[in-house]
Parts: sequence; C-alpha cells; structure tokens
Amino acid sequence: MSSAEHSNIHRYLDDAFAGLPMNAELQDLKEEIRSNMQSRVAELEGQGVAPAAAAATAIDELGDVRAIIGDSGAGTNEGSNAGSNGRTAGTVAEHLAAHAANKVRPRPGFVTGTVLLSVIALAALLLFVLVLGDHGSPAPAVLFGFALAMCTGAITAWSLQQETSQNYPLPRRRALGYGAAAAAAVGLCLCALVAVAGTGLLVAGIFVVLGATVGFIRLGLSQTNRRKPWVRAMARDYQAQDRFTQDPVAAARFGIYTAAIWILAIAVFIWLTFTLGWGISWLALLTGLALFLVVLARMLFPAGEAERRQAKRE
Amino acid sequence: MVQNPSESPPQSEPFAADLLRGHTDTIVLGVLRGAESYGFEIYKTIRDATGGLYEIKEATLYATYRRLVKDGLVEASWGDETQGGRRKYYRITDAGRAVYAKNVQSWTATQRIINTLLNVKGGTP
Repeated sequence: MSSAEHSNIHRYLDDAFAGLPMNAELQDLKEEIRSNMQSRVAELEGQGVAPAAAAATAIDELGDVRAIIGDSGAGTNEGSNAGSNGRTAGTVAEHLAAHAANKVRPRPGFVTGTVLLSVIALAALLLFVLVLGDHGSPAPAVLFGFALAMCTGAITAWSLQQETSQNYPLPRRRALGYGAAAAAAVGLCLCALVAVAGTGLLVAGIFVVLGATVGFIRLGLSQTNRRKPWVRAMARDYQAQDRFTQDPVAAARFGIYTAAIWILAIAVFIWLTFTLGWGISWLALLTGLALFLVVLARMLFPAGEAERRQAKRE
Repeated sequence: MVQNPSESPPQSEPFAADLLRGHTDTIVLGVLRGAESYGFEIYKTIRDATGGLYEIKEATLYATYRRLVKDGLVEASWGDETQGGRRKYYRITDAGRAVYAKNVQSWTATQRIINTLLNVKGGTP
C-alpha cells in the first residue's frame, strides 16, 4: 500500500466529515469506514488495480456517505431530547401501547408441562427425604435424586426457550446448557446429602459441582442480549431519570447518611438489649428503618425541586 | 434507505434489487449467525455469495449496523489489530438470532404465497 492512495481515502473522509461537530459516535463511524475502505483498497490492489483507481473504486462503492452521517446526527439529537424532556404523558402512553403490542401469552403446553414436571420433582424430593430418613439403601435415594435433578434441568431449559413479552427465547443449545448446569448443581446438593451413605458419591458429587460451576461461568460470560427492542427503548427513555443518577453528590450524601443511621441504630439496639432486654431494644431498629425511609424520600424527592426545575427550564 | 438514483428503475439486473435491499437487516444477521465479522468482511460475504451479481452499497450497510446495534440484535466491539486500521466487529445476540429465525420464517411463507399467486412451478412461469 502506498501512501498516495491512503491520503486519497483519508482526504475524502476528512472532507465528508468536515464542519460536523465531532462526537464520539461520528468519530467511531469515521474510523470504521476508514478501516473498511483500507481493506477494500488492499483487496483491489491485490488484483492488480492501480492505487489511485483502487481508492476511486472504494469511494464509489461506499455510496452516499453524507446520508449515513445525517442519520447518525439525527439519532443523537433524538436521544438528547428524550433525556432532557424526561417522561411525558406521551412516552408513557407509548410504552403502554408497546407493551400491549408485544404481549406474549405463555403456551398452554408449556404451562401444563412445567406444572407436571414440578409435581414429579416435588414427589421425587419427598421420596428422597423419606428414603434418606430411614437410613435405608442409597440406591433409591440416588434414583430419586437423579429424577429431581433431571426435572430441574428440564424445567430450566424449557423455560429459557420460551418467548416472553420482554425477552426473546434462548437458542436451544444454550438453553440446554443452562438446564444441564442446573441439573448438575441440584445433583451435587443431593449427592452431598447422600454422602452420609457413602464417600464414593461425595467424590462424584464434587466433580459434578465443578462441572456445573464451570458451565454456569461459561454460559454467563458468553450470554448476549435477548431483550426485545421495545423493552430496550423503554429502558433508554427511563434511564437517568432518577435523582441519584442525575446528581451523584446527592447519592454520596445519601450513602453517608445511611451508614450513620444504621451504625447508630445498631449501637442503640445492642445497648438497649443489654440494659432493658429484647422486649424494648427492637424499637431501635424500627426507628432506624423509619429514619432511613424518611431520608430516602427526602433525597429522591427534595422539597421545592419541581419549582426549581421549572424555573431552570424557562 | 440509501438509493443511488443512477441504479433505479430501468435496470439491467435480473432481479429486484429494492426487494433485496428490504431484507438487508436479515441478510446481515444471517452472515453474522456463523461467526462475528467486521464491515468489509460482511460486505464481501454478501457480494461473493451472490457471485458478484448484487453489490450492496456500503452506506446501506452502515445504516443497517447502527439499527441492529440500537435494537440490541447485534453487539459491536473494536478489535485489537496491531497493524492497519482497527476493525469494528459485529456479533449477533440471542435477540438477533430470534429475530433472524422469525424473519426467515415469514420470508419463506411470503415466498410461497407469491409463488402460488404468480402460478410459478419449478421456477419457470
């Protein structure tokens, strides 16, 4: 790659983005377009196209770059407006409409199936406890434990595969992974109980729990978004509407107040317990809780805030 | 949607480009279904899959990426290339997979209906 053709792309992009207020989003877009164009130019040059012609082709193939920029500018404006205006009656109505439009009813087959599985799991648990109680043979205990673990896994996997109003279903393999990990975790707990009857099971149980932990960690780390767009849009609208996000100083003050209130309440509680006994001392904790709630309310909804905000807007 | 006026209606392409363009989101989701990828690679995959017949404008793709990211169907992250420009990688999310499956289903149904209405049998009129 020569530098001449490089400067060609760079100059083109600089021109296209010239005079725009560069925010992080636009900077990102420019960098992305630049790297993709470089790849395209490299490909063309590999086919024996002259550098200048390659750059010209890449620019031509890009299409109308101002249109993309225009879109992104409009997008950021929209976002900031929603942030400053806050929740209006219109957006609330919109959210309600979105919820109604996206309502998903649980499938009857799934509901009956999970209820049945739960009943089986419960029966298995009861039998398991009974068998374990009389210190009988571990074989039936293992059998019931296995049934219980399987039911748990099946319910988990099946539930995750259901589409809900807020979430898309999880892909089959991932759901099965969660189910297997859940089953393994339950299996381990039961194995630990059965361990009274034999150490071999305990060793097996430890391996199972290790597998379950690793499985959960892997699934959790690789988990991606499955929220539906309307839920995300709603979260965006409500984001940073509460006082603590808008005013970190208030949040810090509240944290210190909380610590002070509870330290005091617990100290008084301990003191009263030793001097006057349990009958009275619990009142200290109750007072602490009431005080905490009052402070929380004062912090979230300060007096005269509405008027002040009104004044600031005008 | 970005449309280049010079390539609209009386065109020599043997297919309906605007119809294809309407499915850009789903096509990109389909490309990303296998593995994460970056802009130029996605562009190349689409171009090569159609044998170079259909060259989507890259500008259209950028608009698509932004929409998909905003809707949470795709996640974007910068790669850590040591040489050359950094690449922005796109990865499909579970929501993206679900939307892809739904769109493919509705396309299959639509295609069947259109074929029936046009009296198509085996691809020839």
